[in-house]
Amino acid sequence: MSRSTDLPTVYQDVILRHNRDPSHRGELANASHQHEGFSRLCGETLTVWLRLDAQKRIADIRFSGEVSAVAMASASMMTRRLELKSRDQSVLMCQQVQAFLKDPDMTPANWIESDVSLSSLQALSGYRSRLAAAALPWQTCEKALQTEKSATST
Amino acid sequence: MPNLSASKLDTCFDPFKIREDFPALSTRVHGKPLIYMDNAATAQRPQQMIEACTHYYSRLNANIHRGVHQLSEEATDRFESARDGMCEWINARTREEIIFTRGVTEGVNLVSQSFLRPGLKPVPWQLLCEQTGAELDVIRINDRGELLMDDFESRLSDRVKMLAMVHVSNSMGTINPVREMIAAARAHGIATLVDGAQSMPHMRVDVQQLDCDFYCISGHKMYAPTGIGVLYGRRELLQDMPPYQGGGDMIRRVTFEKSTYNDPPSRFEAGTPNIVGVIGLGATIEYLKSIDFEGAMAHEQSLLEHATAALSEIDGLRLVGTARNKSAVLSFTLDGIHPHDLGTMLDHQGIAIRTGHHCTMPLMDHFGLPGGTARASMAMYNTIDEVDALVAGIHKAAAILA
Repeated sequence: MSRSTDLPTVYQDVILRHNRDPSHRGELANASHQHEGFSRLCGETLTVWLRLDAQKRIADIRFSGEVSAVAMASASMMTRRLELKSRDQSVLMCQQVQAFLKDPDMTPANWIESDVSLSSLQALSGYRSRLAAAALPWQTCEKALQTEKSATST
Repeated sequence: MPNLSASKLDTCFDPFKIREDFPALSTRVHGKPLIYMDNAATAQRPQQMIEACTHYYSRLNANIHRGVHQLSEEATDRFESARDGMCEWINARTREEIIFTRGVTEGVNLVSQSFLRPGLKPVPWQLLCEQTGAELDVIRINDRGELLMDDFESRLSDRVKMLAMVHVSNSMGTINPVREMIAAARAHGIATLVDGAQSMPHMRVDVQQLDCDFYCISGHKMYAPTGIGVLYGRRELLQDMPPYQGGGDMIRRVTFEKSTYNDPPSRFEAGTPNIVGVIGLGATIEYLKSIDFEGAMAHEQSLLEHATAALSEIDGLRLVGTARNKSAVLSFTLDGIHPHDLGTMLDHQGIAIRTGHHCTMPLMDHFGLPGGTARASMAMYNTIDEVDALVAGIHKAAAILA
């Protein structure tokens, strides 16, 4: 898919597909890390639940919250991409996606550019509240990884 | 200065002519002509007001009060004539009942500090309760979003210190029967405060007829600048209230031992005020006087009627707030579509609405709406064509998002 695909197309091809059947939605009873993130820019709240194994890898990941299709799709993509990744690797990936969504017209990290679904969120460029909603799961996950069980606004 | 009264040529209200006074309405958004329906958040501003503000900064700029030079005196005149303009517009008894604030929020804080718990820091109602042991009682509503009058009356007693209410609900458009409620409260000796943020741009307000003790106004909702507002207060009450903040103008005489408070309104206007805001507010009132405001009100009601009928026909659309007496605010949800996604799809088409909780989370909880609603709020410059474009836009968005 070209990176200049328009908003309605990306909604239909990527966002709504995830929104209808999101991965890893729900809560994690035995989470080792958890964070409730809130974004003032989009007004949405989302919680990320993580269980890290002995090697500090993400053994299990979930997200919860009544969020928009954009945040839902972004969270769904995130959980698939971070599962079984190391803690440090995950933090880096979260930061790279946030950088991409902060300025989607810049060339993102290589793995994002080659990730067709994730890079299609570039179509949200010019819709700041939707970019914030897309970034919310990643910034919440980063906070969750860095602080064991907490809740602050981001 | 522009001649503000010259524009009153038509007796019949013409929204297309009014639109010419609002330069921001000709903006394009995402390449499409702007359809601005976020007026309950903030209204657009007329050229006449913008010019008055520019005129102040470019020709009159000086601090007001106690100036001995010409610019200061002229700026003071403009500033104080805005007080007269507002006094007349809301039919206060005297100009001393008009206190300039930053908006409704500051007006409410001023009353909460100075009237309800003098000498202490200003706090919103909930915090006031925590700090003083007062109780916050809430009037229930029905499914239309109307206050239940039986419930209201059952809560009135001599223990109640204050009745605070919005004149018009920002999230549902409900026009509350404030006059009747104030009369009922006064019979119990209860002080009354009305939040007029949403009423001022859409109806004539007469504080003497309402008989309220306090009425709070935000400029930016009624086509005036941001950061300026008015607290109307009944003179007898203001006279006994201590200052809200310390600073210049609130004090008549200062020695190192003691200060004597100035009379209202100066007592509550400490420091150099938002002079350009007040001048802009004054110019806006002049503008509103120059147009057919009653015609504008009727036009807004026709927009509401048309929009209500058209939105009701959309499959899966639920109107939230269907009061029998309401202003042109349409809050709604669409089955299976988050309001934020809908808002973005409308923005993509140049249509500006607001989505979310509209700062009324308890109300959204009451209606079982965790994601909030989409809200299209009209003003006098919106047109029937724009309402039709909104409806078409919702259909288009739903086709993509459903």
